[in-house]
Amino acid sequence: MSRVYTIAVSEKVRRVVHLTDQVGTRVDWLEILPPEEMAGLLARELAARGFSVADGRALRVEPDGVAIEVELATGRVVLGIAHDRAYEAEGARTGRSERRDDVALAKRLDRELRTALEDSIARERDEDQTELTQALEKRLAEVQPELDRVGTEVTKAALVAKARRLGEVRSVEEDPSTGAVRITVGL
Amino acid sequence: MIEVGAFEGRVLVTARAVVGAIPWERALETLAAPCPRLTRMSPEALHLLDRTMAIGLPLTLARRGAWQRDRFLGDDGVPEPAARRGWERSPPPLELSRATSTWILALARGTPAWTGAEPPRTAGDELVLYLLCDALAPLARHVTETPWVPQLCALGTLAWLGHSDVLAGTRLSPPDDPARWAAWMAPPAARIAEALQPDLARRWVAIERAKRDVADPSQMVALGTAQEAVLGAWFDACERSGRRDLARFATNAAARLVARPVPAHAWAASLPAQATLASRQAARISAGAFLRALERPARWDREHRARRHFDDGYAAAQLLLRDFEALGPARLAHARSALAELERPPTAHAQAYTIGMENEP
Repeated sequence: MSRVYTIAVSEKVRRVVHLTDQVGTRVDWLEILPPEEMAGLLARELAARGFSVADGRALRVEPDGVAIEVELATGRVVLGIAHDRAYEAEGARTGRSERRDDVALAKRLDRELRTALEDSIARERDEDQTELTQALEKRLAEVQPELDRVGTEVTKAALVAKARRLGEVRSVEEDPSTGAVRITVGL
Repeated sequence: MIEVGAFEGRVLVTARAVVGAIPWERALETLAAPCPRLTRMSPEALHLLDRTMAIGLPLTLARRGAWQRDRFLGDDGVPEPAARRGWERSPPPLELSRATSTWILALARGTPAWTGAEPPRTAGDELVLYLLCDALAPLARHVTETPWVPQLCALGTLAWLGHSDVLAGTRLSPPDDPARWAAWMAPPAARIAEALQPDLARRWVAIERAKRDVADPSQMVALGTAQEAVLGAWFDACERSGRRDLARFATNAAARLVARPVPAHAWAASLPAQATLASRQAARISAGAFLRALERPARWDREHRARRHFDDGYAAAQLLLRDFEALGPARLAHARSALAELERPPTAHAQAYTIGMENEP
């Protein structure tokens, strides 16, 4: 009479994954002044909005970890987010064999278990990646109107600067409903 | 009456399918049968193969566009006096090198005995690779293990120009030797490029319309990269050689695609909303490769408009202005608007649209 042995394997998988996502957008303005002056106006406007300006770039990190980086010369904006996440999964598998030292069965069980654990980590990672992307998308939706306002303010500041070179600026009136700016210059 | 052996029959069926005398589906039914062990060709069968190609290639060129009366710049850069059919010009060069028979024999054997592709040597060889691209879809349905066929087609410049969608899937790059692209601008190879203008326009319309079904961002990026390289190389060649009329297919295709204002989703409707923003944005930018490339013909159009009646090349400029009229400022504005939308950051809200078309052949 043959005996049946239970072969058990257990495994623990740990992975550290670098999750990242980014999206590009831009600040648009009218080229009223030379590029370097426009870049200076943009730097000033961004600094007033909490950006730190250095080496031709402005950077602001939001509370949710989204970094907003603006290239001052071109107006190119990159919103990026990155997180390192550690994942851990463990489990066990058992199989029955007539041999006590059934290495082939043990290897197969180990392989199946590893695949299952890796799959489980991959699913978790995909969910986290989706969450990360959604957070970035939400932040983009919030930041884009601000960037549009920045573009408008830079254009307005450039117009006023240009007007000052033409003569004495007597008044600057803005219609908040339309965003139209009226600059009166005494020549 | 010439009798041929079983393998020779397969070769001739393959050749007939290449030149469009029979549909590929029918040829593949024959090729699905086990290949005979004897795979040599008798001189009579080789003669029949040559005849099939010699008659079939001009016929297929005629069917694909040479039948249309059209007016091109002549070899001296002066517009032809009147619109003519393809065969009313000097005959296209359809000499084939040994490479073509090697490819057809390999296809007839049906085995991926691929130890290094023989590259195309003549314009006729290039045309064969272009035509062979039509077989890729049916081949993929009938035979799964044939990656060497698209790899073979990817050796041809003309094949890339007309079939960037299928060849981008090979993960290979279009040939980057400017001399190979420039060869199409010079007579007599330019006759083939002229004859294929309507077919190329049809292909580009189909490629652009199919983008809405591309769900894999990396596939879209590969396609966009290939399109950019192919159109860049072709437009460069057209510009350097003074044969801008050979880019007519692009403006004609664009004219059909953007006859009405088209939203960007028509190019990127199937990109998954759950993919990363970075990959979606890269894919959307790539989806606009063709629309972006239209800026070159638009710049040419501005140059042609500035050519005055006493300037050199005034007559050529008038012909090229007529070419661009198919697209025109209104349709170009539609293309630019769709492109601007594609280049904006993506959002998760996708809608289904179809690309509007007029005068679909």
